Amino acid sequence: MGVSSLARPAATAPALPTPTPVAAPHLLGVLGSVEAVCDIGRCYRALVPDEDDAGVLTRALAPSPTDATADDVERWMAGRVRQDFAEGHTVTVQGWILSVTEARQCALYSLTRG
Amino acid sequence: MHVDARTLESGSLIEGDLCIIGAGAAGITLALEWIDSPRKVILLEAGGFDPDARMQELYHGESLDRPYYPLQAVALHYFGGTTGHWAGFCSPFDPIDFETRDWVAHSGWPFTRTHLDPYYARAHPILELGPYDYDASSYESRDPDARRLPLDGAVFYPKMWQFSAPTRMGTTYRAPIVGARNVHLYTWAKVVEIVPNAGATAVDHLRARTIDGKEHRVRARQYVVACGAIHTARLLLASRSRTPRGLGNDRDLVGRYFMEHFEIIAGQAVFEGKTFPSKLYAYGGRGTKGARAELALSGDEQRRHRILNGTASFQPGPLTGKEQSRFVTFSGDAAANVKMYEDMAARGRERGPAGAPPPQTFYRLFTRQEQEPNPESRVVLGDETDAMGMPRANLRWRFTPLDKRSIRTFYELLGREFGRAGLGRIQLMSWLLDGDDTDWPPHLSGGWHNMGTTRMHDDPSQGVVDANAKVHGIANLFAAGASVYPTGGAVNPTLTIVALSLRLSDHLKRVLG
Repeated sequence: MGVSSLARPAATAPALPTPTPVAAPHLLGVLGSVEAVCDIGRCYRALVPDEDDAGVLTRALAPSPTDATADDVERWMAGRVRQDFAEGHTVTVQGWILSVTEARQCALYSLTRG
Repeated sequence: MHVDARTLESGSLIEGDLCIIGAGAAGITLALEWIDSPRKVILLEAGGFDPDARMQELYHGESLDRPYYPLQAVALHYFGGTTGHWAGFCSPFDPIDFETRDWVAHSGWPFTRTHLDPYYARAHPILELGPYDYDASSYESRDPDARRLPLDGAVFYPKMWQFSAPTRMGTTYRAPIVGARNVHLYTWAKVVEIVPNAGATAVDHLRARTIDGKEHRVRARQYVVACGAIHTARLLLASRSRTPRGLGNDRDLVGRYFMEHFEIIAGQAVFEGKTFPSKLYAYGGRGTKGARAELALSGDEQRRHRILNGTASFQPGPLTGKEQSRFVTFSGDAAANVKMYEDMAARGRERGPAGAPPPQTFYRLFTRQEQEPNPESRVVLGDETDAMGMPRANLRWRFTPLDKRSIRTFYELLGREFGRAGLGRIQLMSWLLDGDDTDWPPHLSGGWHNMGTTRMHDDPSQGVVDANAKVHGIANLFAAGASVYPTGGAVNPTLTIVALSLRLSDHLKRVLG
C-alpha cells in the first residue's frame, strides 16, 4: 500500500532542457522532479492509449494563434488548466488529481524526453 | 464525600436519589451539576484515583474482525476515566450530523445542533476552553497571519477546533466532588450487574463488587450508566439474571452500531513554492488561545456527493511509504500511556502556541472521518469472564463501502479545488484507488473514539435510549456518554459527551423534582 510513485521534493532546482511551450507542464516546477513528471506522462499514455502519440497530443493541446509567444502559450495553458479544474475536467494519474490539459502536457513531455 | 468501598463490610447497602455508574467525562459532568442540590447523589467508580493494572485487566477483550487498540488500554478504569489520556481536541458536531441523511443508513438524531448549542456553551468552562466560538473569521480577525486557504467556501471551509489543557477531570474535579456534602463518591465499586424488578420494567438495585471480593448493593430512584461505549453496552448485556438477553435489549440493539473515527493518512498535498497553508491550520497551543482549523467539506457538498462527514489536516513532510497504524504503536500498558500523554501535554503547555512550522512544499494529508452506522459493527460478550466474574467485552468493528468511498471523494474534490485555486496539487495514496471499497490499508488508525452502542432514537425498534437518553422499557435507567450517539460526526467526541451530560442532568432534575 502507499503511493505507487512517491514524488519527493528535489534537493535543488534541476537544470532542465527547455521543452516546447506546449509540452512544458507547470507541474515541472510544482513537483520539481523531471522523473516524476515523465512517470505521470507515461501513466497517462497507458491510461488513454488513443493519446499515446505526440501528434495527437499536440493537436489536443495546441493553442492558437500559431504565432503566439512562449509566454503567451504559457499563460494560455495555465488558463486552460485552471478552467479544467473549475469544470471538473480532471484525471487521476498515479494518485495525482490533475487537469486533463496538464496530464496531456506531461504525456507529451515524456514523449519528447524519449 | 468519598468512601473507599473496600473499607465497607461486604453486603452493605448504599442508597441515594440518583446513582451515576462511572466517573469519567460523562459521570463527573453529571455529578458536578448536582453539587449542593437537595438530592443525594451516588457516584460509583470501579477503580481508585490512579491507574491500576488489575482494574485495566478487567477491560481486556479481543477485537475479533480487524486490528484495533488493545481493549485493556483504550479506556481508563479509574476516577476521571479516559480523560486521563485525552488529547484535548474539542469541536462541536456540525448541523448536518444531526440530520437524517438518506444516503447514510441509520442516520438522524432526535434533535438539532441548535438545540444542543446552549449545552455546548455550558460545556466550555468545564473543559477549560475559550468562549463557545468556532467561527473561523473570529480567529482570522485576531491574527493577520491566520488566513483561510483561498478555496471555494461553498465547498471547503475551515472547521475550527479548540484545545483543552487537556482537562484531566479526575484531577481537576476530585476536590469539588469529594468535598460536596450531597455527592457520595464510592471508589473501588465496580457495578457488575444492574438488577431489574420482577417485570424488568425498572431497576431494582445494582450489584457492586470490589477488587478484593466484597459485594455491595446500591439502590436509587434514578440510575445513569456512564461507562463508555464499550463497557456501558457490556454492563447492559451482562445484566441478564432476570432478562436473558440483557437489560434494555429486547430488540437486540445493545452493543450494535459501534462506531469509531477513521484516522488515516490519505495522501499528500504539494504547494506551489515552499509555503505553509497558513497559521490558521497550525496546531496552536492550548487553553483559551489554543485553536486551529481543519479543512472540512460543506454540508451541501456532502449532500451533493452523498458522502460522510470528514476533515483533512496538514502534517509537514511528504509521504514516506512507511506510514504506520497507531493500533500497532499504541501500548497495551494503560499507565504508561497516561504518563506519555501527560508528558506530551506538559511539553505543549510549556511551549505555548506553536505557530506555523517551517515552510515546506509537501504535506501529508491526515483524515478524520465519521463511520456509517452499521448494526453488524458491535460489542459482544465473550465466553471468558474477568476476575470479577463479568463476561468480557469483545469487539467486532465492521465497515461499509460508503466509508472508504467518502474519503476518496473528499480528496478528489480537494484535488479539484487545490488546482482551481492555484494552490498546488493533491495526490491520493494507492489504497484509495484500488477499486475495492471493502479493503483498508494496514496503516488505518482510529481516534480512540468509541461511540454508538446504546444509540438514541425515539423508536425502540431503532434505538436503545430515547431522546432523553432513557433506556426504552426501563423506567429509571439512563445512559450517558458517546454510547448514545446515533452518528459519530467528524470531530472528537469529548465536547459533545459533556454537552449531552449537561442536557441529561437538566432532564433528571425535572424528573427527580
